[in-house]
This record gives sequence, C-alpha cells and structure tokens, in this order.
Amino acid sequence: MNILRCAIFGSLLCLLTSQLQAEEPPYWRVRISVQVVAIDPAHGVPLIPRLKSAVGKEAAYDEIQQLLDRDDAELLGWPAVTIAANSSGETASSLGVQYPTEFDVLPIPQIFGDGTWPVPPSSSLVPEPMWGALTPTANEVRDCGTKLKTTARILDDGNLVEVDFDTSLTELLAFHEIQGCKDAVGIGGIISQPEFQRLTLNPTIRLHSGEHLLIGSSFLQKPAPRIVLFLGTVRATRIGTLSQKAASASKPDEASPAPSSSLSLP
Amino acid sequence: MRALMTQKPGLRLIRRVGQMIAAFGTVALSSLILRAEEPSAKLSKTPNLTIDVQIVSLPTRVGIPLARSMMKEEEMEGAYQRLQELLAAGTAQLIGWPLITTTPRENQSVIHATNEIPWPTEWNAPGTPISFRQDPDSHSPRLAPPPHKDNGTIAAVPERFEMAEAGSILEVTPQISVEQAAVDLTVLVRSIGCLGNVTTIIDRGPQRDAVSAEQPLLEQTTVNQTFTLRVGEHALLGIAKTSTPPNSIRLAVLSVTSPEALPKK
Repeated sequence: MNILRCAIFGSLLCLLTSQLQAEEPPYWRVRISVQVVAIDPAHGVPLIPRLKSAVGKEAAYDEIQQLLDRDDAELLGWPAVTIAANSSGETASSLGVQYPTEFDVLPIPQIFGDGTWPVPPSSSLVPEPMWGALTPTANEVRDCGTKLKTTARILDDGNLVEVDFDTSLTELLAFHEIQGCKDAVGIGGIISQPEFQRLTLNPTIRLHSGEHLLIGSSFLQKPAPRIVLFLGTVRATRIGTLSQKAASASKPDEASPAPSSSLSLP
Repeated sequence: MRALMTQKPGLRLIRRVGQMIAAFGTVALSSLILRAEEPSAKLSKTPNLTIDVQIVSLPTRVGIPLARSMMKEEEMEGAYQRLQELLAAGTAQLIGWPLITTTPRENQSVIHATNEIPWPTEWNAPGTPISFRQDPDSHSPRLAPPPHKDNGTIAAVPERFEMAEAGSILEVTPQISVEQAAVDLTVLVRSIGCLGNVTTIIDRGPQRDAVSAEQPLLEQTTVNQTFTLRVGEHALLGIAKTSTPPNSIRLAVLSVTSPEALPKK
C-alpha cells in the first residue's frame, strides 16, 4: 500500500516538474560560424573523404587550421552570427563592384557640307566617331564577399542544434572587354563586363554544440584550380529561462545577470 | 510479522528508505517515459547526410571500360576506387565536385558553384551607308563613311547583356530510413562548361556586308533522377561524350555518406 502511495506521489511530482519545465522554457544563445577556406586540390582532395567521415572529421578540421596557420590555405571569409534560439540572423562582408549595364550607342551621323572625306581640319563640321564611342548610361552594383543568413532551433534539451544555413561566396574574377563596332578610322568601342564566381548553399543540418562539420564544398576552376570548403560550427549556451530574460528586459537600469556556470552546457 | 516491524524502529527506518527509493525510481522512470515521447528526441535521431557528385573527364580508352564497370552493381565500388586512383595520378581530370551536407527532409538542399559570364543578348547592328557620288557643289545631306571592317565583317554593338551560368549545380532531396540506412534521393545535377566565344554572323547589310557578334559556346550536361541508395554507396549518374578535351568522356558519380556513426544494417 505504501509503495503504491509512493508511486502516485512520484508520478505527481514528475508531472509537476514537467509542468514547471513547460512554464519555464530555457533561453538559449547560439553562435553560428562558417569558415570559408580555399585549398589547392593536392591538399583538398584527400581531405574531403576525411571531412565526410564520422571518425576523421575533427582531425581533418584541425589539419585545415594548421594549413591556414602555415598559409597553405586561404581564408576567403568567416561569417559568424550570435542569435537567440528560434530566431534568425544574418551577416555580410562585401565589396560593391560597379559595372555598366546600359549604353548609349551613337547613331549614324549625317554630315552636312561638301561631303569630302576626310573632313579638312578647317571645317567647322567635324564628323563624330560613328561606333567607336560607347557611353555607359546605367550601372549596377554587385556585392562580392561572404554572406550568412541563419536560423537555429534547439533540439533534445540542447544536445543538438538544428540550423538553416543560407550562405554564399561571391568573387569578381575579371572584367572582360567586349569589342563594339569600329568607326571609319578603326577606333573601336569597348564594353567592360564583369565575370563573377558564385558559390551558394542552403542546407538544414543538425549539429552538436562545438562540433565542426563540412556543410558544403566545391571544386572551382578559376582563377586557379582549388577546392572551396564551407566549415560550419555551432555553440549553444543556456543562459537561463525566458521569464528571467523578460524580467531582466523589464529592468533596463539593472545590469543583465551573468550566465550562471551551473546552467551552461557541459 | 507486522507487529514485529512496528515494534522495531530499525526495521521501520529500512521500510521508509525503501519507500523513498521506490518514489525516486518512479520519478526517474516517468521522466524517461516523458522524454522518450518528446518529438524533438525522435527528430534528433535522424542523421545528417553528405551527398556529393564528382564530375570527371577521362580519356575514352580509360573512361569507357570504367563506365562499363560502374554500370555493374557488383563492380561499382572497385571502379569508384579506380577512379580515385586515376584522379590522384592525373589521368582523370576533375571538372566539378559539388558537395552538400543536409538533414533528410522534404525540401531541396542546393549548392550552386557557378561563374556568371556576361554575353550580349541585344545589339545595335550598324547600317551600311549608301554611297553617294562625290559632288562638291551639292549641299544635300550625306551619310558618314562606312564603319571599319575586320575580315569583311562589321562588329555589332552590344546594347544589353545577360549572365550565362557555367559551373556545377547540385539539388538533392534525401529521405532516410534509419533502420535500413537506405536513402531515397531525388537528384538534379547540372554541369555547364564555357568552351569560349564564337563569332556569329547575325545580320547582313543591304550591300551583303556581314554583321558579326561574339557569343559564348556553352556545353551542358543535366541529370535528373530519383533512386534509392545505401549510405556509403556510390552510383554512376551519367555519362557524356564531350568535345573538350578531344577523345574524352565525362562521368558523374554520386556518393552518399554520413558524418555520424550509423547503426549497422
């Protein structure tokens, strides 16, 4: 009889605890970063199978860090955001590259006068170049650099973080000169147009806090053959409860409480 | 027995301790049951998958036998290893290698690795002027002299540009069965190469003057398939005969791995 009483008491206690937990949802801070690294194929091709494996990925990540320290790999970008769980954040680091998109092409000029060619220097009516001159009338700007837009959700009491990544790398490779028509004396108009290289990916991945994971990569031919790696890292820290956060937000004069070490993730 | 227990305080203490242990045991058991029922706990068991497609160019003398081996299921893994050796030796050339890690889900995961090459889509083609007899006394309007010709053609003036994408694109929608470690995949792979620019005659003037414009020459291979693969397996997605380099074929080989330890099948 006493054991039955204890079982009922235990169940009630458990329900009460879970109810309290439901009322007091934890508040998490999540830091997400993506290291964008370019490695020559000689180093990169053997690294990818290791980065894909369960056992070798952390050692391969450490090796990439050593390659970066020795300048054997190039850091192309390292966007990072710190957000609350179930919220979104974004960051971009870019250089705006301007390029012309519309041009004013001169019409065929009509010459009024004696019609002699070439026009004598003394003439007041000098024919303009026909096709050689091209005047840009509108420009556009393209952002070159790295971008990261992300949303994080806490799963399994913080053991896992589900992250929506939307990240990209844009590079200016070159400006190409495209020849227009030449005028009668052989002067050609030139239109400069940029060639951009773009690497974008948008996976949803579940990571453990502190885990490093290859979220995407690609082999690129230009400007030199190389492998570009996107290495994702997530760190989740339990700050407290939402009610504590709301209480601290309602008191702007008081300093926000420091995160308790007893609440942080192991 | 009951009377004996009520009389001895030591036994009563043991009984109380037993009751407390039973209560804590019930609490622990209930917590475990409640945790097991949380949907997030179930979700977290789904592993991430890494899906990549190696697009390689091989001389036909090596590529054709290798493609034949890859078509036989029992020879596929050996042929894949052979391909890696050919890549390391430089016999095979890597054209593209898009890779993406994703959680199995209904939505697509996409990786674009492309160059945006500008190419003109609209031109102002120069008109050929009508020749007038030179007459110094005439004051009638005259057209200007004709534009310069290169190799008998007049280059058109580009007025509007678009960007052509060249590179590799991988779109995947994986669904996994954890027990069987099998993955249902819907895969779209697109490999586009720019072989350079070609000069095309786009118009001819009234006096049969040719008007030319430069256009990019794009070579494209597309694969769109749905199939099932076990984690750790490879599959030959496509074979393409390409013009550059000469006497070569292009293979697209897909791999599915998991960066997490999966249960043994």
